[in-house]
Amino acid sequence: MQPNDDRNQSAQLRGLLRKWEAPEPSPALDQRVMKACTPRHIAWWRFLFTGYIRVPVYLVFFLAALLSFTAWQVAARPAHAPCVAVGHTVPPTTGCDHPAPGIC
Amino acid sequence: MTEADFRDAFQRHKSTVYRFAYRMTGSTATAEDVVQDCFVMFWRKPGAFDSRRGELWSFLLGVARNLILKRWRRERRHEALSHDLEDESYAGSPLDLAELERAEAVRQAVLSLPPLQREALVLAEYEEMSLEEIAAATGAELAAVKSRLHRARGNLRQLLEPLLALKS
Repeated sequence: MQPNDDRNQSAQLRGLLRKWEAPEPSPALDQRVMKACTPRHIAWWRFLFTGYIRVPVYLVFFLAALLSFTAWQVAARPAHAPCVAVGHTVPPTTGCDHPAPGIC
Repeated sequence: MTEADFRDAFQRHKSTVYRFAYRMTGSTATAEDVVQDCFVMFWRKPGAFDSRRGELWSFLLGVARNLILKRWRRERRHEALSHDLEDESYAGSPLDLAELERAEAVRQAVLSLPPLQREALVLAEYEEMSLEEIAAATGAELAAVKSRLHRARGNLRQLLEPLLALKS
């Protein structure tokens, strides 16, 4: 094949390829991409209802352990002594939370 | 990267990435998905782009290309992929042009090429990239790009033979 024929054929093919034009992207694409990429600003009160946060697993375990320990502490505390009428004295060993000494 | 930088990059390069994705997939919806995925990736990992290794548009075309091939692999995962991607023995039969408009015939012919030949052709003919730029964007050897482009043009000449004969 002659070089001229080759060039001619290439030019013909190129001209034919130009017949297929690509459409422009739709305007909705801009919104889609911007929505997916840029941070959205939402009201703090709305965030309280719809927002979410990511918490590291170790922190969840730590908080769960802390909660269990606190619950155990509260449960292990001695129950309050029943109150008696004002003026009655109680032995000093009896558990009593009244601020005045000796009175429940 | 600031939000303003990102918006600027998106406005400058979205059409290039979109045209490439459209010509690779033949679908406007898929092309838009690819553009979105491509820019989301760029937004999340701006450090992946190294300006010393080339232009941003070339990098984005490379990302789009990988996304398209990934989709293509996912859709056709039961077939022999490496063979299909290269397919050196591929030779299409001429299309029935009586039924088709010229542009549609070109579209079908380009879309019927094996993907690696198609991307080389689209980048060279439609995006007017040099062989070196195509090699950089696709991560291929220069010789491989040359060979793919040569085969793509040969196949297109065969596919579009009746139209080329009409023109001459």
